[in-house]
Amino acid sequence: MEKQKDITFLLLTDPEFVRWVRKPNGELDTYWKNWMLAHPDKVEQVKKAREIIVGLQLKQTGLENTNKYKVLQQILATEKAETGTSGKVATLQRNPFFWLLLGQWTKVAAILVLTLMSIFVLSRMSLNPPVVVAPEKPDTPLLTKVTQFGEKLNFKLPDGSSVWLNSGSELIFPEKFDSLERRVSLIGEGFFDVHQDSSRTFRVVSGDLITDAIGTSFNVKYSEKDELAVSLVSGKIKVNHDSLEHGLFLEPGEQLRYRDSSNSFELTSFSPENITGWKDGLLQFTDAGFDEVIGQLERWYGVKISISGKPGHSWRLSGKYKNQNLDLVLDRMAYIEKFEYSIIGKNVNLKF
Amino acid sequence: MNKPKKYTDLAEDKDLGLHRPKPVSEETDADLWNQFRQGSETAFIKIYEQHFEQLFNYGYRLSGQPQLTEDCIQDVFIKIRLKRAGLGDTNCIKFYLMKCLKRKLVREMGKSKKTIACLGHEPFFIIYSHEQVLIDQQIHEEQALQLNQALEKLSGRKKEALYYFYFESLPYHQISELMGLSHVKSARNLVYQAIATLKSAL
Repeated sequence: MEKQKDITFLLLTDPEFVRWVRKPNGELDTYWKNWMLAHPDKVEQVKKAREIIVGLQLKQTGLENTNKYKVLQQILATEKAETGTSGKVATLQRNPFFWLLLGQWTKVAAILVLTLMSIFVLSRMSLNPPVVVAPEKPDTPLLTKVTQFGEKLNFKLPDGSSVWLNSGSELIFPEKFDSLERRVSLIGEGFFDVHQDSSRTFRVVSGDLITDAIGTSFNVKYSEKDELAVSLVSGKIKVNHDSLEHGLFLEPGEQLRYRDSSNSFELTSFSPENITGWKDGLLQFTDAGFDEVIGQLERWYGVKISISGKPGHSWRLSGKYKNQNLDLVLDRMAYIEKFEYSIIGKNVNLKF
Repeated sequence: MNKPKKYTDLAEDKDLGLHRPKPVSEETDADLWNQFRQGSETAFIKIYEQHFEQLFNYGYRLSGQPQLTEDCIQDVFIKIRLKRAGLGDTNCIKFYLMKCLKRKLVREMGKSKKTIACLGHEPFFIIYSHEQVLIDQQIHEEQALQLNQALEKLSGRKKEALYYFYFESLPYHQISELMGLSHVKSARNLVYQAIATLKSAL
């Protein structure tokens, strides 16, 4: 009889037996039913243990909490109070040499850096607008900032983040970000200095790619229609695309290129200067072909370039021009590539 | 039956005759938690919806103070929501939240983990009721009465342990963590002793 008692006791202290009684599932059912068949002499003990467990009840608290959603609202409201520290960003931004201090500056943990760049390898024709995903709350008015060719723009977003828009670009963002995420839509090229707020993802939608700022600072490069590229300077980002099941995390120094036509991704390394130099007035070419150079010049200087004749050979032009006038840039190119040029107002003619 | 120590050895005896099915529900909790940590607000709401009532009941039973419990639950959720990216792994969200809530309550009440249950109110009031029991009864009226008397006499710690074990289906290692015990064995002993007391009443 002592042994029999032990069985009841064992059952009462067996988490899986308790679970079977309280929250049965198929496996536990199969197990215990077969266990009883295998131990017909212990069925009585099983019944007794079961009865005790079923009979044990918590005395009702007599209290029903009806504040579930009131509490939830307070939870959701709290983030704002704790994230209003943008002083540092503002100070840095007023410094004209701000970007020259990039090395030190990336150490400032309070700042997220996101650059979203789109390189128009050809020319403005590539401004084929990608699908712009509207920010979540349609009842919040949307604002649009547009830069013409030859024009750059620096402004602040509602959360204190700063944006640099390169020429021929467009950024759409809500007048006020909601509490779930900070979503902006970009066509073209932009550099984002994201104000840190870990409770609200900063999300840039560019074509089919969605880039989320996760850790500290990163740099996204989004190029012409068929090629999107995301480059991370520092920190962590996650790139989402329909074809990526869980998104792709980038490490600093990594660039992700995506080709729409082949739906292929390629991960490479990059040099930060090449990607973000435009903000500092650095016009640069790396092994650039003729069409690419013409397209970039048109966009950079906001001019229309017409061509007389043809270049004698295919171009592989490399060069950096910092804050240079168009005629100086053309001077140097003309010398290397052997052409003549004339500038009349916004019209440029190259003659081979 | 009053020498519970002897059962500690039996605890290691995992085999009552057949192989055990493994617990099945853990993977989905880990998934949900990961989604939440990666920023999903849908996952956050799911977690909140699934656990609010249970946490409230738990906190109230623990502290006897509904308003304080509500405030602490609010703080726990605010904290995990704001710090989501830095949270650790869990494959049992309920346990994770219970731990956060108890820690918070303990801190708010200025009590130690071990004494929190010994307040003016009756924490973890467990009763034995015949109502739900089946036709084929093994336990009759008189035994039920004795069982209730035995339940009443259990210490607060033992009741708390029984609460985790029978009503929250927590495994022993989680019980020991929640109760601030250094060994899984201690949690097991608490449950064993409590059950031995109950059994001796029958």
